[in-house]
Amino acid sequence: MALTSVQTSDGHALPRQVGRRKVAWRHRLAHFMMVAGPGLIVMVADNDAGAISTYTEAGARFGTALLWVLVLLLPVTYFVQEMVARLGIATGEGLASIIYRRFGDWWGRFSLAGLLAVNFLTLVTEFAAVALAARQLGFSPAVAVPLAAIGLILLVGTGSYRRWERMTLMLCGLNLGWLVLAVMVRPDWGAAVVDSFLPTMPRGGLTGDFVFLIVAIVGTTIAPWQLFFQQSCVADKRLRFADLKAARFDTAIGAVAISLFAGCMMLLGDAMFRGGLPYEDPAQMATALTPLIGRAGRIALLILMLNAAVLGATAISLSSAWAWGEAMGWKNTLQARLSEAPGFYSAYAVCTAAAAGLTLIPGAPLQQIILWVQVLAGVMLPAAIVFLQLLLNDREMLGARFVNRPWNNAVNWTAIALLFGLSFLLAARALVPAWPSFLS
Amino acid sequence: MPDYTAQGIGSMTIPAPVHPLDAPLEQKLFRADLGRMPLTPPVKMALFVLRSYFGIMALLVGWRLISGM
Repeated sequence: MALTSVQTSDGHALPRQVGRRKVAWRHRLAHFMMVAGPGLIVMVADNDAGAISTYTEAGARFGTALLWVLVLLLPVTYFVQEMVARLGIATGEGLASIIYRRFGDWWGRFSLAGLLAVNFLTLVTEFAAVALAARQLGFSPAVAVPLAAIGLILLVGTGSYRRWERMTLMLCGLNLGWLVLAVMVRPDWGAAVVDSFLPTMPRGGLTGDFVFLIVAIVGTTIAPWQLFFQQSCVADKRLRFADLKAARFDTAIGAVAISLFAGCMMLLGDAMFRGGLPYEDPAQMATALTPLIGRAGRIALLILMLNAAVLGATAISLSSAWAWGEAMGWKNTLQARLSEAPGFYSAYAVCTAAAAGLTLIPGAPLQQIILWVQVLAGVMLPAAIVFLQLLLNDREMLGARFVNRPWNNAVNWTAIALLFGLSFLLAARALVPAWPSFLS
Repeated sequence: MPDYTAQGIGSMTIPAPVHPLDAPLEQKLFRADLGRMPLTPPVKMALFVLRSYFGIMALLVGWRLISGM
């Protein structure tokens, strides 16, 4: 039968040629909107409190000289996260579960213990940032931190994945505020563009501090919890084989977003650098930049800091709860009611509440916690990423369709070698501050 | 469950997208009976590198603890 028109699902008939294209485009967009979420959330949540601190410090100390690192990390972040999205879609399982089953109990327990430890300590730093931002906004941390913890627990306890995703994506949307703030500090756009694509040496030359700030940026941009989080999230959302292309696009948009927002944070730090203002932390920076961004801008910056900590906290707690649930064989889905998945929700609530409680203890050793976050991340990231790479070459499990292509392997092994080296440097620097002396 | 098969005119049908959570469960590639991954030379090598890396990290942590945190 000759085809003269195309009818859309909402009942409209369109001429064949125009219709085909329009309908295809509209349907692709609608399909993408349904699939999108895990990639964008994992990336934007990675710009958490620690990341804001690292990126703004990099800007405050070296201006725009380190912007190229963010551009360089964009494809690395994408390739790493695309692998977990692909593995999650192909298997419908989380990373912790597959490590247990394919590498045995020893590696499974090791990965889980390391992940839970580094996640918990990172969570403490998120709540420390909540306390810091709340204090600057005129609220008592003793009220703000428990409120944030309760809010985070309520956020996941609705028994609906979609509700959690929608609310989390709204929090992600707030990050657009970084673009506005970056424009408000009137950066030197020319220098920013040049430094984004041409690695330049800072005025003081290649120092140990410069090298380790690069390492810290890499460590901040690619964290172990991200791998576990996105794969479990993809599995919980039950993405199908046919969703792979859209999931890749979701991850790519997330990778661009993370670099863009991180670049804006660096430009805010650069405003401190250009003004010769001393930098202590992002909250102090918000006050120091008030003449440029105004009182509203200062409050917006503190709210963005608060938002980043909350977003990071929900993603990190969830990655722990999902991984713990997978290892224990519990029902672990945001689609379940509290009564249907008590272990999963308890793990999430305990992580969140304990980290918030620890932050409120007077004299809590936050510096020691930050040190151990770096050490444990330096141990965990290479392990998780090597397991991931091995699993994506596992033809017995994935068949030919989902395994890495040769070019995938070449790119990924290069990224892994780089991450191994940089993670080691970061952990070693945290453990032995005087090392390596030749760079200091 | 929403209708995700739109009707077309003539022989053409355009499937309307459906949210993954509303779609029927898909048979995934992971099977519980797969067991452990075969220890091929690349796998052995990767695990050896990981163990060595952890050994070095453990030495550094030990150094840090002995030299007094």
